Amino acid sequence: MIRRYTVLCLALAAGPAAAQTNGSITGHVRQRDGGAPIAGAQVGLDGRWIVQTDSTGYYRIREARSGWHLVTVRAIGFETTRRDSVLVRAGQMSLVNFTIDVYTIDKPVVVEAYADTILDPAMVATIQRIGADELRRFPVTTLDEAVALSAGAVGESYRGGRLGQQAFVLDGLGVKNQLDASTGPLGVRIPPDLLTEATLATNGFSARYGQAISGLINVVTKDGGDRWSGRAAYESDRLLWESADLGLDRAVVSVDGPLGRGAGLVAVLDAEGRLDADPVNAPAPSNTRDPRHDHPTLLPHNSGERYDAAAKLRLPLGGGGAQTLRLFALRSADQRLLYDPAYKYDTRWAPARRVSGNLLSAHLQRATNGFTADVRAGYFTRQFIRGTLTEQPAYRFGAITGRAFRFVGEDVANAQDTIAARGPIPGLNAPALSDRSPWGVPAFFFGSGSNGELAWNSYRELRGQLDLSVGGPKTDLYVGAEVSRQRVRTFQRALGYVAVGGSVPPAAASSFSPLSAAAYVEGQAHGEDFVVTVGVRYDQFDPGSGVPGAVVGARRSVNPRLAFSTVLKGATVVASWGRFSQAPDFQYLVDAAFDDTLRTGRFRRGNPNIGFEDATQYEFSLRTRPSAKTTLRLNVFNKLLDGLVGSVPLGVNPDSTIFGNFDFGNVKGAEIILERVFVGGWGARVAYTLQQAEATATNAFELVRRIRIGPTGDTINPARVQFPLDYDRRHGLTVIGQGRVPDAWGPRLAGIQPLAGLEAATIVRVSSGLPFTKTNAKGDTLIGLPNSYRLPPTVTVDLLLRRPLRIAGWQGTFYVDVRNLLNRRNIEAVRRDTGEPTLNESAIVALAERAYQAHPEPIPYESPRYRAFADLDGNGFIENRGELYPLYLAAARDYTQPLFSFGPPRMFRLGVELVF
Amino acid sequence: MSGPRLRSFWLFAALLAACEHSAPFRPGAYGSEQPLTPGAIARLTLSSGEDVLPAWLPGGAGIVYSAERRDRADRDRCLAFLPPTGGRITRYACRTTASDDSLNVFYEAAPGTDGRIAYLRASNDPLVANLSPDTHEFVVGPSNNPNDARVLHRLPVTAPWGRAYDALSHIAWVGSDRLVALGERVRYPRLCMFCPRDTVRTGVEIIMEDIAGAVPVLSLVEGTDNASSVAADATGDTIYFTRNGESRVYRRILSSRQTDTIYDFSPAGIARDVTVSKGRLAAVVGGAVSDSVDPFLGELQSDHGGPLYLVTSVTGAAFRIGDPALRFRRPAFSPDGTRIVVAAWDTAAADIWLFQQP
Repeated sequence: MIRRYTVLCLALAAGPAAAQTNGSITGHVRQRDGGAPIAGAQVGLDGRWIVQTDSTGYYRIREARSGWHLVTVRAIGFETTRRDSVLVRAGQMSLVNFTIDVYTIDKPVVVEAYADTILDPAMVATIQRIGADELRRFPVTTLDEAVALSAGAVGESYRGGRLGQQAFVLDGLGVKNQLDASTGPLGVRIPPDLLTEATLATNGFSARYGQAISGLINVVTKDGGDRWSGRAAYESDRLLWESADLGLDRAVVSVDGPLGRGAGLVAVLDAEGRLDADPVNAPAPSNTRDPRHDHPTLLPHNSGERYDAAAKLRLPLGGGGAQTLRLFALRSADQRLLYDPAYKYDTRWAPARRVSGNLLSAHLQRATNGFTADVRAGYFTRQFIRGTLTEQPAYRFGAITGRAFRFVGEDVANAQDTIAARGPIPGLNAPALSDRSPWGVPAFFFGSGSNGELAWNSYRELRGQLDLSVGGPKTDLYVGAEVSRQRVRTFQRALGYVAVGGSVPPAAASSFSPLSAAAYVEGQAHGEDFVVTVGVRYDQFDPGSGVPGAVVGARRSVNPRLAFSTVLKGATVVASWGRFSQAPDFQYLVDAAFDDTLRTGRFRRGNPNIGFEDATQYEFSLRTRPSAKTTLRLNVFNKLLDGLVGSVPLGVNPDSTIFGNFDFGNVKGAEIILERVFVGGWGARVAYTLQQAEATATNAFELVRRIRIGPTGDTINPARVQFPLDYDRRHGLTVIGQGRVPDAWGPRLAGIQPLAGLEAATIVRVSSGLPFTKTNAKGDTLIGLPNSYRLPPTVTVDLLLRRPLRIAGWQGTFYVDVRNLLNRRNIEAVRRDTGEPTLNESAIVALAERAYQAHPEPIPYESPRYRAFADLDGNGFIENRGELYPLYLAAARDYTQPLFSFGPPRMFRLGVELVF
Repeated sequence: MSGPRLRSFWLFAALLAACEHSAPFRPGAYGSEQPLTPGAIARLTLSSGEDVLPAWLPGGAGIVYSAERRDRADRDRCLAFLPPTGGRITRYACRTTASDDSLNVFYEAAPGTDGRIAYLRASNDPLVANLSPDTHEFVVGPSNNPNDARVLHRLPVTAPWGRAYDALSHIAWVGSDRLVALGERVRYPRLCMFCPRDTVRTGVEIIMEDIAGAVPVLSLVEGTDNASSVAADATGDTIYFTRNGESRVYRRILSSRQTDTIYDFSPAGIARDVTVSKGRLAAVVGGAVSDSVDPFLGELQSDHGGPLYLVTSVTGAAFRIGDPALRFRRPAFSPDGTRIVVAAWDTAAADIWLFQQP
């Protein structure tokens, strides 16, 4: 009965479904003797009186920002009682019960407070949460890595979805790279030190949020605290020996504190440089002349650096603390040299990439206990460029250059000058076969010039958002609208070292300004032991007149969402149904040229008339607490995908294709999450996912061959078969364990207890292999169906050890973060022609033979290609098959090394952290 | 946090950071700075492609020549840079803004003392059946990146005095902003009715190019009609030249406009490809050369090389150097006058040879 009553209270107190910045606090105030409810007691939040208890002693604070709070209760004739450090989580309810007594001096006050994320029936969304403290305790570095620990996540793909089917919500404001989310990064990163918590919602997310059909990443950032505090950390692998030293340096400084008069500030700077930003665990080549033989781990021209700087200012605007203005600014820059095996010996000409983003937002909030209004405005910019550097970067510290990369032709791309780009782009040289390889022969490796690619795009978005919420004892109503204006500019030039004409396509550029809008209404009704959530969301987008060929105006989508949850015998059961839609990547509205020979054709015609991509999801969830310390969650879902963007042939020419909403599919699966909360020095979480994700095309660039022209000229209608999506991971098991040694525990050595206070966290991931497509040796014919083959399973073990450190009076920690502890060689990709990372011997021989036949000419002594070791007769020529062919064979083996088929090696981070 | 504590933290971090990171792998170094068979007479190139038109880099720091790239499908001819003693080519300068299917030729390199290099560049599209190049330019660019060049003239060029020159050769610097070159007439005669056409470049006269201004100024070096080769000395005020069909070598002082004969190779034959340094003179004399007048094409001096003669004193005798089986063209003295680099043919393609004359 008590449990049922508690659950009812939870239900009555429930906040909105998920994906927001606020939670709620609820509970009862009772008299200590006899437990009589105290009516009319005032309950305050962070020094501001918010609400009074009702006749049952019940109170509810509807809008409490995610984070730590002070809750105060006072009633005439009773002790004034404070409960500090009440943790509120976004979208959830924290239960804080007070048992107080009449005013005397010595009598104790009992406060019971906890947040129940499991049994709360108002939690209709399937969310997985990671807090700032866990981010620090786990062997993860970025928010993306942390979210990837969630069940059903494969990197940035959630529940088998394509990349880009997720949306990002920062402090309630939607942020998405709507230009090329399926192929490019967001552009801004939230420094982990800025986080209060992050959650991944994979179903039933509130109607407040759109732009996603796979998952919603909701991030709540810190507000400035009541006292100044901060953290400085530096981590590196410099102290380690050669193969473990991958050139990592990372420095983080964060501060937050009050500015007076209720204002607060948070500021974070997070910078990282890596000499090898994409290390691989590929085996060393056997040929001792290959320079990778002695240095197999660190790849040249593969460095990267990123900078994230963020600041947030909270300003109270009077109104007794009910009105608050929050200003947020984030600047991210990420630049990478990209190792290209073809430029292994002339890395000067290998490509590079720079992505930068800015986010400015303002959030004005007026919050009373019955009504909350949020007005948000955001300005998001993102710029991407990939091409040839004007000069190689000068490293100043590790891989840190401290300067933005400059690219050849960047000014032409910025100006979108397709006329100037008709000629050769100044500074780009035609590539020639390299003479710097150990083999010398003119084959496989390039130098003298780059591949001539220049790709640039710019995305800007101005967004305004209004959210209103009204709450009563049994209902909550959420209403809101948003409008966003985007500006998209793109530029692409291929083979930029030669003039346009013949086989050289002209530069492609686009500039247009889409307009998107949305509105929603959502209500939540609380019954005796159930909660019903009903919402509907309206979305529309209009590409604008700047897109050539647009004949359809604004596209519209209405998405109802419904959830019912109840408590049955100590378990919360949620059944939800929802329809979700997202506007397609704007890159599909305009022509696309890409260089991927694994797909057929290199050009897709843009389609300005494509519409929303849709999903309809059914989910059944069961949440329970087998014991006081353990929780169990079971989710079963079935998601129907429709209108996904695919490439459709317009004729028999593979380059004559157009993007369209032709793809459909289905994702179904189950997730089991068993968690033992971190108490008594240890905690653990086990998440297992079983899923199947299939569609008619594995990604937007793959041809959807519904109708084909047969050899006799007749049309053929193939069966409507579905293929596994690229991120269809059937089985995924993630085990997270963490423990802490008590502060005064362990043997004492030389006056020190080395194990005292030691924290350890480990993440074990066992995953079945992702699908891949097999082709014939030439690569022009599929063997079997697309994605009908599977990579081998992968296993990784990550470990973080952290020990408190106290030197010269300051506190901090020393930590060792090890990724892929077992140094397992995980295969992440294979060749489509062999199904293995490596080319088979006969294919290598054939490659070498073709290369030799193309250049059988002798190599004279003065040539940079001359290698004395290969001149067997010492006559000054490497000539004839006997001397030349072994070089071509060695070059073929070198070139076909499967570097990026393998995942990262064991990586270390040795860090020191100071907390102040 | 107090200052000392912060300093301690950064000191600790700095100590950690003081360690050097491991470096990624690098390509190895290959080749030598010595010819295959070193000696007073050394063959510097063995390539089966045509290696022609050698010249010295300033101070004798190296050799540049036009090398046919047999390792490229289009067989472009690039400027190849060799160490002064021979050995491995240190770099090529090739046309960098052209597709693989066009033939691009860099030749007639003339390195200047200020880091610039003058040369000719020509391009041919294989799909266009032109006898002459589709584009042909006289350019000056930085020696370390010859592609970044200033175009002085597109060829053929018509001079202000009305003469048209199909091509140029024997480019040489005379001062920091002046160049001399031999203006040429190019004809494509057939030796017989069904024979393929041959390319015959015949000297017309010597021209001078002043490149100090934004617009290059072309002028005629008077008294050099029928010139067949030209060389300049280090002073920049004296040029030496030969004439079609003649065995004499002439000297002209540019400032005084005086011309005299400094040597006569008679009766060895027609002298051409003169080079002079530190009082020494070398030229190709006789051999596979003929001078004739075609009633339709005008004067033609067809030259397929000949013996190389060295004169150590203008009052002394000329003596022949090099293998008699070889035919030489375009010798070039090093600035110190102790070495001659020259293109030579045997039965196959031309190679570069080095003669040391202490």
